[in-house]
Parts: sequence; C-alpha cells; structure tokens
Amino acid sequence: MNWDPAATRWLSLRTGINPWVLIAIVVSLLVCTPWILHLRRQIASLRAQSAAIEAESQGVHQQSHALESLQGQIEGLRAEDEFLDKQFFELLSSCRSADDIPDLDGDFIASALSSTASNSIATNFYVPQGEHRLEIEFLDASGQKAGTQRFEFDLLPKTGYRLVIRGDKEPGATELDRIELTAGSEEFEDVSHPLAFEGIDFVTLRSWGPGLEDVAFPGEVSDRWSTQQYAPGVLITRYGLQARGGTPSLRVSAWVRSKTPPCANPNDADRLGLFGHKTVYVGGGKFGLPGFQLTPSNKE
Amino acid sequence: MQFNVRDMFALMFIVALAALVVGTMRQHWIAGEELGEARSHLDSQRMNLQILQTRNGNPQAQVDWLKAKAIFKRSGIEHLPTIQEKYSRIEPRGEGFVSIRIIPMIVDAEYDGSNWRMRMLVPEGSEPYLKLGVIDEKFAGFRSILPADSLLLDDSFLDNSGPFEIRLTPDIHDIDLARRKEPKDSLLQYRFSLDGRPILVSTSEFDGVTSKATMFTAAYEQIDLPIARGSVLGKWSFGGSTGPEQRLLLWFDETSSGFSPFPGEEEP
Repeated sequence: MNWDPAATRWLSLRTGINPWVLIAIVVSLLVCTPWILHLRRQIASLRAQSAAIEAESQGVHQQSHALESLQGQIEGLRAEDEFLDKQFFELLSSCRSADDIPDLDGDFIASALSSTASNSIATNFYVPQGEHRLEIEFLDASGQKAGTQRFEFDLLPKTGYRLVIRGDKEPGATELDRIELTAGSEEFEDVSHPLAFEGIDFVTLRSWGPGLEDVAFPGEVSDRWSTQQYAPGVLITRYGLQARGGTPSLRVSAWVRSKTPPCANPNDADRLGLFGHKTVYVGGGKFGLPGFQLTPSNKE
Repeated sequence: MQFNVRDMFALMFIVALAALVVGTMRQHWIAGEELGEARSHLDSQRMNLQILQTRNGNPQAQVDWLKAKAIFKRSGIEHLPTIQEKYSRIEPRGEGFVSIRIIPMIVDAEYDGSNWRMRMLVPEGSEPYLKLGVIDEKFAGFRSILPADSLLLDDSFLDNSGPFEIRLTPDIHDIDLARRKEPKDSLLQYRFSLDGRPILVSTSEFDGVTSKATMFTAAYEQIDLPIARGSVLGKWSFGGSTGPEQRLLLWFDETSSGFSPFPGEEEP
C-alpha cells in the first residue's frame, strides 16, 4: 500500500486528530471491514443451513407423528376387529342353511363350524368374486383301512355354502355316510355324495377346532394352516373323526383354491418378506407375491 | 505526542469497531452451535422414524386391511335380524303342548360372553311353571328328565341358585340368557330375562368359576313338548379349573313345586 505521509499530515491538520490515531483508524477499517463482511456472509449461510435442517426435521417429525397416529388407529381398529370377529363368526355359525348366509361386502373367504344334528358336522363358508374350487380330503390318520379320498367341487362366486359330513341315522352305530354341499344360490346344483369308508363305525364325529379363525383373501398364502405351510389356498375347516375303540381315525380338511395370483395379508407379508420373498402392496390390505414359488419344504 | 478530545473520539471509534468484530464473531460461533444442534436433532428424529418404521411394517396396509375386514364383517352382522325373523316363527301345536325354538343370537358386549334366546308358545288353557335350579354335575344324567327336588342344591358356586319358579300365562314368551364375566374377566354371571324383564341375576361367589359348556334342547326347528311330562329347556355347566362341577337347569313342569318366585334383579 502506498502511504503518503504528506496526505496524513494534511488530513491531521484538517481534522485536528493525531496522525498515528488516524493511521490506526484507517488500518482497522481496512482490516475489519472485509472480515466482518466475510463473517456476516458465513453467519447468513449457517443460519440458512440451520433453517433447512429444521425444516427437514419438521418433515421427519411429521412423518413420525403420522406413523404414530396410524399406529393408534391400528390399535383401535384391531380392538374393533376382535369384537367384530366374535359377532361375525357367531352369525356365520348360526346360519342354519346355506340360504341364511348373506352376500358379504368384500374380497374375503370366511368359514365357521355350525351347530347341527348330533351325527353330523356342518361348516358354513362364503366365497367372494372370482373362480373358486372346494377340495375336501379324507386322510386316514392310522394309514390302515380308510385310505385317502379326495373330492373337488367348483364353486359359484359371491355365494354362501354349507358343507355337511353326515353319519347315517341308525342310533348307536353311526357310520360315515355322505358328504353334502348346498349353496345359497339356485344356480348351484346341490351335492350329496356317498362316502365309502367300509367297516368303520364312527362312534363320534368330533370337531378338532375351527379351521379358519379369521377371514382370508382368496389365494392367500399363509402359515396359519400349519401342515401345508405357505401353500396358496384357504383352509376352511379341519376336524377329526374318531372311530369306535379309538382307532382308526380320519382327518377331514377342506380347502378353497382360487384362480388368482398368490397374495398375503400384511402380517404374513411381513414374515414372507423376512424369508426373502418379494412382496408388493396392491391395496385393500393385500400384498401381491410376484414370482412366488413353493419351496420343497412347503409343497403339498 | 499530544491527544485532544477529537483523538479520544477517534480512539473510541476504533474500540467500537473492535466491539463490532467481537460481536460478529460471537454471532458466528452461536450460528455454528445452532447448526450443530439442528443436525443432532435431525439425526435423533430420523432414528425415531426408523424405529417406528421397522416396528410397524407397512402401517397403511394394516389400516386398509383392518378397515376392509370390518366392512366385510359388518355386512354379515347386519343380516342378523333377517335370520332371527326367519327362525322366530312358531306355529301353535294345540292343547297340551308347549312349543319351543331357539332364535339365533350373537354376543353384544365387548368381552367374553354369550347370548341365548328361546321362544316358547304356551297354548290356551295351560299355565305351566318355568323352574330353575342347580344340581351337582354327577347327577346331570339324561337330557330331558326333570331333576328330583331332592337333588337341587340350595348352596352352589352361584349366589342365587334357587330353586325358583314362575307361572307362565298362555302366550308367546321369550326366555333370554346372557352369560358374562362381570366385572370383565372376573366373576361368572348368568342373567335371565322373561319377555325382556330380568327375572334372575346369578353371580359366582368367587373368581375363577368358569362356564364349561352350554347345552340345551337344540330346537333349531320347532319342537313340541307335552306339558304333562314337562321338559328340561336348557342346561349350563360351570365349575372350577378342574372341570364342570355343577349344572344350572331350566325346565318347565305342569305343577308347582312350591319354590320361591324368581327374585328379579335383586341381590340374594
């Protein structure tokens, strides 16, 4: 910097300020001004960054908040679902004929055991829109006399059905007699199919618990139905038939198989996801399972 | 070197400048600290979100699913009156016969329980007695045979175990039973009503009494019972943790046994 002592002297004379003080002022101004300006710019930039981060936190916080309120909603809905379950399955169970089963509003299969005469077991079930087929299997638990028998029936969509496994009427010696399938639609031809398990007098037709405790999507893949893990299809009923003297006994199970891509409910989708299956949410609580394959361990 | 007042002002200017520098540096430092805080706040918010996300899977799917199921189930439950209507018709069988049928019911309380309703037609010219009492399970025996008065317990697990009786007029009567845990998950309670009027509230005397089974004359179709013979209408087993021990019986009979009248809602 070219500093002219003459100019300072002149300014000093004009202002009456000590030249050294003047020099100090000039130097301070020259040094401090750019520095202050630089700091101000930095402060502005820091504040802008803070504001951006605050806004982002706000966004994240709102997301968390939305999740938490969804969680609250889920808990409320679950409690309601549990209660509706009780009412709904009591209703389905109290339908005394297939005609009583109402047309239901949704893409679900539902089933319930129903009271009936003492020598038979009845299951009421409903299938929604789509192509469905009922598969009934009689498995001989002891592997001896009865063998295995399988029946398949095509079902009409959006219809309620009543499946009855009936023993014959003779008191004391109830022999498994026939399988009856009736529908709440006149288009369905009622089925009454004789059963041939010769030489086995079934003393009791005993239920071994409900097959389906919740409603299910057609083609739902689930491990709820234990023995056939992750096989697409909905188990609607399963029970045991005890023969006189305890053995042999028969296990009856009935499945609804649907012509629809395999899918899963949110709970099973989470679990399937953990096992490395691809899941895609398709709406209405249903997850698609693109490329789902039965692994050897869960094949029928 | 001489300093005058103007020099003093000039020096003060320098001091002020220095103060401005210090102030700005302080602001700069505060802004830096604030940025750090905002960053750590964001990190904790993100972590919180991540925890919520892993815990919930896909919560929107859960909500959609539960809502869809609720719509589906409600559309079924709404159908109850239609089914009740269908199974509540009862045809007079004529003199000498009581006709009964079970009307489909579903639970109406948000906890463990069940509802049961029997419709009963008493014909003109008859006034049979509706009776209730408790017997030991080991005498439960056959389905429809009336219990001998000597078998009836006057002291049971229930605070109101009867026996009680009430005379029925010739008419259609509804007998209702609500079985509950009252208060919730605690004492077993049977609440009987006749034509909508409570006739008996009977509660277990201690916790842990459970109802084991509900058995009744399965009148899905109308059943006509000769009044002269009388008949058991319903039976409900209950007991402790080991199994059914006592049985509540509801029956009708042509003649009075001289039992006390049903107490209504009164405590014993």
